[in-house]
Amino acid sequence: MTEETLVKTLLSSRSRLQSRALIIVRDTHLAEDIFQEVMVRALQQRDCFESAQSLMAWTHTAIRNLSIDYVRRLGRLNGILSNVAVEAVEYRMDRLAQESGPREEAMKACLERLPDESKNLLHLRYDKGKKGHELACMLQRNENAVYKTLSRLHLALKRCIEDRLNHSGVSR
Amino acid sequence: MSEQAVEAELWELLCRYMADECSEQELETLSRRLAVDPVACDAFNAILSQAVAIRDDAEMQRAMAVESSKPFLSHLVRFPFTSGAVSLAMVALFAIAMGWYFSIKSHSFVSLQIVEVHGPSRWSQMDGKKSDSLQIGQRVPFGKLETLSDQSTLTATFAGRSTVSLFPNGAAFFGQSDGKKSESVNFTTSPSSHGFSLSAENSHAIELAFGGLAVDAKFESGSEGLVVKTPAAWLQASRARFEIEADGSDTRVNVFDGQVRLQRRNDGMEILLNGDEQTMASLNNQSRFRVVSTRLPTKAWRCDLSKVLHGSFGVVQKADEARPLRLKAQPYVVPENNTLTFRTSVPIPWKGFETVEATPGMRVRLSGYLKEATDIEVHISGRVQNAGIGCGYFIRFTPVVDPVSGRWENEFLLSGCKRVFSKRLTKEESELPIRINHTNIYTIKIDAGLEVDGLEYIPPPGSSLSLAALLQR
Repeated sequence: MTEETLVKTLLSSRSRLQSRALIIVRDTHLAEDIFQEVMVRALQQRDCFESAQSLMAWTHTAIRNLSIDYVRRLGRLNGILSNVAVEAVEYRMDRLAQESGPREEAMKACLERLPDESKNLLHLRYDKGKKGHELACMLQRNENAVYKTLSRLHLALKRCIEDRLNHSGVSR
Repeated sequence: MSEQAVEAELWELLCRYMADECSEQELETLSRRLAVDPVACDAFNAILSQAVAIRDDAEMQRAMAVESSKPFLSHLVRFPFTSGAVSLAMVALFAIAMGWYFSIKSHSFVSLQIVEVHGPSRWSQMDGKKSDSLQIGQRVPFGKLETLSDQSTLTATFAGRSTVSLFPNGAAFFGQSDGKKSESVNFTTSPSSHGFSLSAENSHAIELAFGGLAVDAKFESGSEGLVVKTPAAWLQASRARFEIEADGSDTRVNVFDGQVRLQRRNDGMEILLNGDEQTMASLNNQSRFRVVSTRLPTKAWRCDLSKVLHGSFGVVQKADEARPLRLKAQPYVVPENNTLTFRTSVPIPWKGFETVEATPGMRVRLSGYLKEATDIEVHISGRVQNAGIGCGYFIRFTPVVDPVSGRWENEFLLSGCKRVFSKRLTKEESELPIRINHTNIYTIKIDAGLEVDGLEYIPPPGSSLSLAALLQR
């Protein structure tokens, strides 16, 4: 496989591959680090990949292993989902992969429509890595209220994305 | 409960899981639900993809903020020098700026010089640049150092003669502190490994995020010396040799010689540790420090899987009528050679002050199950105590597998293993004790359904158990 094809293949699935790492590591910055590391390793052994399928199969295993390795090093291995649950989430993720292009566009549009306050909360959570109790402290609210707000925002975003996809003719 | 309420509960639980703030029971409930419910999986996938998009959005906003500051600068640079006076002023300004830059550089130390590298490691600079190929003799500015595998170790010198060694699978930030206490090491670290900055003037500072570190601090007596920050403790030493192990909640410190001041971060309690003393600082414990001698190694050790799961690798298989509690091998790519292995890993838990020393004549007993007969390789990782030198014992054997139950057992002499050190030992170093940290048991390339239920380190017959071992029984 040429370097160009390999890079294109992996970059076109970047969000999905980072999401895969996120199932286990739950830190968006770490997920990106893992994606980059896997990409470097894939480039080092690009001659082993005969097709995009074999590259993706290898990438999925590598992401899973590296994610577990990171979590293990952080001493958080006991805090992750069971193997069966992780596999079930990955399976559904792959089924949704075909429509990832329009979905990402819809996601951007929906994020833009969010009020600043909501957007700030999501940035603090997923970009700055602030946890529920830290956000509760910052916002002078209790932790349960923070998680309620976060879950409502996620649900609202999901509905907004689905509306846009339905409107543009892409099914759920 | 209405359907809507159930859905709301699921989304909240998923948000908690994403923040690592789930209880054990909630984690189990969530795992069970996701395993059987595609709707729950789709909800989780929605949160995952949104999290990635939100982070990208934040990144984009940062990039735009930088971009928006450009026109002013570019305008300034493009502005033609219309008179000699302006040119002169610009030259003077440039000279002042350069003078300031170099004065800052000369104060802000920090370069480490790499003296030993073994296995894959990484250096990340403040601006996000990373280097995966560290060379002996290379000087690196302050930033983050990581050892990326079970066999990686890295040793560097700093501030003249002081040395620091980072043990396998560790991460540490290096910089300077401003010399004050409490939040004195002015590390401004982002929540991940992505970006960080350090600022300071006086003493040298290390932030150990996780893993192990050996330090030989050789500063002038009475100086600030070195400050080490871990999630649970602050440590300060000017002339001392010591080792630290840390994770998110606990820090164990072994002092071999000199004095180390330790302050627990959750309540500020302090203790001064002398040579041959060790203690533990824990965020979950506010009682007085327990100080234990480092001269009492645990010479015999039997793994209790229910107690060593923290830091182990493999999937726990609960005990049933036929088999006891065991660890099932999971795929793992060895970073050094990209070999796919199916591995379990059992640590010697450092939180109980257990220190298993490799002694002449020591035997290792292993047992477990295999679905198909294949060779098993064992890698025992350890380190030469207080020398910052990694050590690995390797052995491969063909187990005799019971055709009905799949059970296998094996026993071998530690001295029969191939021994590898991260550097050539001096005569003095070769006489130091070797402390065992991890036992990795795996099959290579073949997923033979390896499970491990027993691991034991047995001292040679006739050698008496140490006091520490007796106390732990």
